[in-house]
Amino acid sequence: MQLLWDHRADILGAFLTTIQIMVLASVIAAFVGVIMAVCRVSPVAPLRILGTGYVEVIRNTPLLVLLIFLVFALPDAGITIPLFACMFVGVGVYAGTQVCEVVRSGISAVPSGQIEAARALGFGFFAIIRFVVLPVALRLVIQPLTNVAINTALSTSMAAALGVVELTALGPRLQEGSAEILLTFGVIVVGYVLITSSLSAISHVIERKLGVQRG
Amino acid sequence: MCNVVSQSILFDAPGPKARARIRAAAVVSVIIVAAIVAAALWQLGLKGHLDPQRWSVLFTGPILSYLGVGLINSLLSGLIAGVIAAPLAVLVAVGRRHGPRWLRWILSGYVELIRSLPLLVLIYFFFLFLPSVEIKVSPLWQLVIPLVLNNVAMISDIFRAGMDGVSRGEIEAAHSLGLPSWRVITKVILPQATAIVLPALITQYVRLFKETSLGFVVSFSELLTRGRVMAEFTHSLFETYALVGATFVVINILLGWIARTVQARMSRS
Repeated sequence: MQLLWDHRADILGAFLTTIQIMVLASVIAAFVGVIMAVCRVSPVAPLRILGTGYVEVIRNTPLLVLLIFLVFALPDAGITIPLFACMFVGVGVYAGTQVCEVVRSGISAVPSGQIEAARALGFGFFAIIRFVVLPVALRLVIQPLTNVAINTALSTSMAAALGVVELTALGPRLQEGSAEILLTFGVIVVGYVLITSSLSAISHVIERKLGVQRG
Repeated sequence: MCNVVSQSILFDAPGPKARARIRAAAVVSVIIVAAIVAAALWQLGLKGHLDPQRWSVLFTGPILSYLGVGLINSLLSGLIAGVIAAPLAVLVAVGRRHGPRWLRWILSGYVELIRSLPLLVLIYFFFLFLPSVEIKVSPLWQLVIPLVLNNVAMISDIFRAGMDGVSRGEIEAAHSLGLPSWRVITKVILPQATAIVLPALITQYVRLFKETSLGFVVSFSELLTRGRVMAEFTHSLFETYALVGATFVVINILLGWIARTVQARMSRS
C-alpha cells in the first residue's frame, strides 16, 4: 500500500497519459475512418482503391509492428516524429480502419428509400453523403462505434512496450515483491475498467438521445 | 468490387456531365496520391533506401532462415494458444448459458473483466508475477498463457452468439425426443453453432496471430523479436521492419481470404 501511496502522483500521471493518447487517437481515427469510408463508397475508382488499400494493409498489421515502424523505421528514413505523437498517430490510424468498416456498414444500412428520396430531390453525391447518409449511418452504428472506442482505449496500452509511461507501464515500473505486484495490477485493472465503463455509459446516453429506433 | 450494392444506390447512373466530373476527380486523386508516393520515394532515395543492395542483404540465406524461424515461432505460438483456447471457450460459453447461477456469475465476471483489459496488461502480469512467486515459465508460455486467457473470453462470446443462432424449434424437438440436456448441447446446438461462427472464428484467429507479436515484450523469439535483432544487426531498420510488416499483412490477407471463401461456401449450401 505504502508503495502505491508514495507513487500516487505517478499513477495519476500515467492514467492521464493513457486518456490523452486515447482522446487524440480517437480524434484521428474518427477523421481518417469517416473520410476513408466515404472514399470506399464514392463513385471515384482510385479513391475506392485507396480506401480498400488503407484498410487491408493497416488492419492486417499488428499494432505493435506499426508503432515500432513509426518509432524506429521512419527515423531511419529521415522522418522523426516525437515518441508521444507516434503513439497517438499509430493507434489512431490503426483504429481508423475499424471506424471505416463500422461506418461503411452503417452506410449500407441506411434505408434505400431515404437515399432515393434525396436523389429525387436533386441532391448530388456529396450532398446525399453529408445531409442524408452520414447523419443516419452514424446514428445506426453508435453501439459498434463504442466497441471501437473501447478497443482504442485498450490499444493505447501498446505504448508501454515502447517506453511511454502510461497505465500499463505502471506494471513493470512498480514491482517490489509479489504483494506489490498484485496491488499495482489491481490499480491498473481499476483504471481500465473505469475508462471502459465510462465509455459504455457515455454511449448509452448518446444512444438514448440520438440512436435510431430500429423497427 | 464488393461495394457495388451500396454504391449503385448512392448516385444515379452517371450522365455525361457526372462522368466527366468523376473522371476529373479520379485524375485529381491519382495525382495527389502519386505525389505523396513520389515524395515518400524521394525521401527514401535521399537516405539510400532505394539502393537494391540494402534490400538484397535481407534476402540472403542466413537472414531469411533466421526470420523464417521467427515466423514459424509466431505461427506456432498462435496455433498452440488457439488450440487450447477454443475448447475452453466452448466450455465457458456452455457454462454461461446452461450452468448453475454461481457458475454463470463467475464466468460472466471473468469474460467481462478480460474484455475490459488490454492483453499487454495480462502479459506483464504473468511476466512479473510468476517469477516473484518463484514459478519459472519459458518465454513461449509467458506469451501463450495470457493469449489463451484473453482468447477464451473473446471466442466464448463468439460461440454464445452462435448458440443463439441455432433454431429454437430444433432444440425443442431434441428435448421432446427425450435426449438428455447435455446431449442436446453436444449433438444439436454445438455442431450448428460451430458452423455459424466459423467466419467470426477465423477473424479472431487473424487477431490472435497479430497478438503473437506481443511476444516481443517477453523476448519470445517470434517474428518481430527476431526482426528487431536483425534490424540492429544489419543496420537496415527500415527494410527489416518493412519486411516484417509485409509478412504479417500477406499472411493475414490470406487468412481473411480463407474466411470469406468459407463463408461464401456455407451461405451457398
